Amino acid sequence: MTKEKMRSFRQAFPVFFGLLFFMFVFTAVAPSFARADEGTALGVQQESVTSVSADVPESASEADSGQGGGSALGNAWSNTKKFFSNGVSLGNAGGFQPRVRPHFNAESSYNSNTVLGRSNSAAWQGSISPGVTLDLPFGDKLYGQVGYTYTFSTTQGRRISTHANGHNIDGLLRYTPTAKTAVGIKNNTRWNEMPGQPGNTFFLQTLAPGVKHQFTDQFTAGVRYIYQHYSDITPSSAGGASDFFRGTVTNDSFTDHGVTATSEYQVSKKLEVGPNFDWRIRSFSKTESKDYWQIQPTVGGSYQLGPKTKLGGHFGWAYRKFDTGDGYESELVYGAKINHLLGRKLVWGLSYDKTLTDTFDTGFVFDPVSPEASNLDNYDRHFRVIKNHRIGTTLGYNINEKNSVGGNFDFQASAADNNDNVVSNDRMSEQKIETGVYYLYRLTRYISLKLGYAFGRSFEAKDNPTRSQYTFHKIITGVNVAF
Amino acid sequence: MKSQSVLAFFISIAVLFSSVPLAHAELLAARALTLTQGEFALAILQEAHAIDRLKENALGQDAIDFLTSLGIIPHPDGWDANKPVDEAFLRSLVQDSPAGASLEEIIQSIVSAIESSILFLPAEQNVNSGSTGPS
Repeated sequence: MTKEKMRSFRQAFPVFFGLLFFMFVFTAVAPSFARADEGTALGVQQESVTSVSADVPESASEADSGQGGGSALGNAWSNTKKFFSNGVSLGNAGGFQPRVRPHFNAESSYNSNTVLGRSNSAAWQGSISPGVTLDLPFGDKLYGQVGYTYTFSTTQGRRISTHANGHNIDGLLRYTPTAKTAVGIKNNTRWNEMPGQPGNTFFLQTLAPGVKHQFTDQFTAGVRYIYQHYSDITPSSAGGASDFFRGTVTNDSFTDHGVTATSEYQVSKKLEVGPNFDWRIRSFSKTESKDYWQIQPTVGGSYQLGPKTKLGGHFGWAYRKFDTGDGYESELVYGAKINHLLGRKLVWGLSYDKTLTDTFDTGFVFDPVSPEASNLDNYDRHFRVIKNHRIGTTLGYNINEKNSVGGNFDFQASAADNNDNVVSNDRMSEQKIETGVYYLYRLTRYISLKLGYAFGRSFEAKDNPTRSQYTFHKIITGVNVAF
Repeated sequence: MKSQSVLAFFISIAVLFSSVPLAHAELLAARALTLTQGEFALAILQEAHAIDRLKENALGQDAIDFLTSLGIIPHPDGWDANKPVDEAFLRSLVQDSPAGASLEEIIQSIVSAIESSILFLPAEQNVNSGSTGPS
C-alpha cells in the first residue's frame, strides 16, 4: 500500500467506525421511535382520515416527546417537522407536500474472491451509503423526486487493500394529467471511483424522457427516448482507468441514443399483445470499431393465468450494423417469464432471455454497494457484440411483517465470434452462475437488517486469456435506515 | 476531512427527521376510496418511495404488474386497473389483516410490505450495460 493510500485510508477509517457507532446507537434507540410511530398510527381518530395536508393533527409522538412544547425553540422544531411531514397546502387537489427522506445503508461482507481471479483473493468488504431524497408531490398530478447518495466502500485483505468513493444523483418528474396519460423524465448521474483503482473515476449518466397514453380501453401505446453517456474522467496524470483483469489503460467513453416505441392491445381480459420497436445508436470515443446502429422489432404479450399467476414473453429480430467495415449481426431475440404467488406468502418468479449485449468498461460492477448489477453483468469489454442466454429464478417468502427470506439462482451463457473481438482474435465462450439466499428482519418501520450468502462460479472462459474461471463465496450483513 | 463533513451532514439530517410522523399514510387513506385500483397502485408505490422503480411514463397497469411481481395481490380476485378501490379490497391486500385495523394501518402495512420487498432489489435501468432485450 502506498503512503498516499495509507493516509487516505487512515482518514476514512474513523469516519467508517463513527458511522458504525451511529448505527449502533440508532439501532438501540430505534424501538422507542417505533413505539411512538405505532402510537401515531393506532391513535389516529377516524376524523383525521378525512383531513388533508396541513390540517392533519400533530402526532402522538410529537406530543409525547414534548418537542412541540412552549419554548421558541420547541415551536420552531415542531413547525419544521410539521412542514416536512405535512407539507404546505396550496388549497386544492392535495396541495404541495414536500418531504425530506434521509436514508442510510451499510454493508459488511466477507468475499472469498474479490477480483474473481483464478487464485482466490479473500477480503473483507465494507460500505456505507448515506443519502437524502426530496419528494415533491404537487397535488395529485405532478410528482417530482430528487436524491443524492454518497458511498464509501473499502476492501481489505491479505493481497488487496483499497477503497472507493462514489456520488449518485437521481431525479424523476412525472405528470399524469389523467389516469390514461403519463409523461415523465428520469435521470441518474454517477461519479464513482473504480473499485480496485482509487483515484480513477468514471462518470455514467442515463436520461430517459417518455410518454404513454391509453387511447381506448383496449389499446395503450408509449414512446421512450434514452440517452446514456459513460466516460472515464480520470485525470490524465493518473494514467487512466486500468482494465480490471489485464491492467491496460483505456480512458474510453461512449454515448448512446435509443428510442423505444411500445404498444399493448387488450385482446381479452386476460390476454394482452402488442408490437414494439427499438432503435439505438452507440458511439465510442476511441474504439470506433465498436460503433453501431441497431433496429429491433419484437412482439410481446402477457397472459393472466388466474389472479396469482402472470405469464409474459416476447419474440423478435435484432439487426446491428457496425460503422466500420461491412460487419453486421442479425439475430433472433426472445424471452419468457412467469410470476406466481404460491399461497399468500411465497412469491416465485422465473425468466429467460436471449439478448444482444454491448460491452464496455464494466469494472464498476464490482462495486460492493452497487445493487444495480451482479457479477454476471461484467463482460469482456473487447467485444462489439455478445449473444447472451440468461435464465433466472427468484423465490421470496414473507414469514410475517417483520421477517422475510428469499433466494435466487441465475445462469448465463455468453458467446461471441472472434471477428467481434476488436482487440485480438480471441472468441468468447463463458458460462456463469450466481445463487444466493438472504434473510431480512425489519426491526422498526425505518430500520431493516439483512443477512445473506452468495455463491458464484464461472465454468468456462474458453479461448480468452484475459478472463479467468473463478469461484467466490460471499457472506453479507447489512443494515438499511430509510425514512 | 471532506468526506467526514459530508457524513456529518447526513447524520445530522437523519437525526433531525428521525421522528417524522405518519401523516402521509393518513393522506392516502383519506383519498384511497376515490381511486381506481390502477391509480391506487401508483399512489401506494409513491407512498412507499418505490415509484422510481417504474419507468417514468408508467400507467396504473405498470404499477399493478410491479406489485404483482412482489406478490402483493388482492385476494381472491386479483387486480383490475379500472375497478374502484373499496375497503374490502384494501384489507385483502394485507396478509393476516386484523379486523379492527384502520385504513391508515392497512395502508401502512401495504407500504411496509412494499418497502421490505424492494429493499435489496435492483433499481430500474440505472445501468444500461447494453442489453437490447425488451425490459
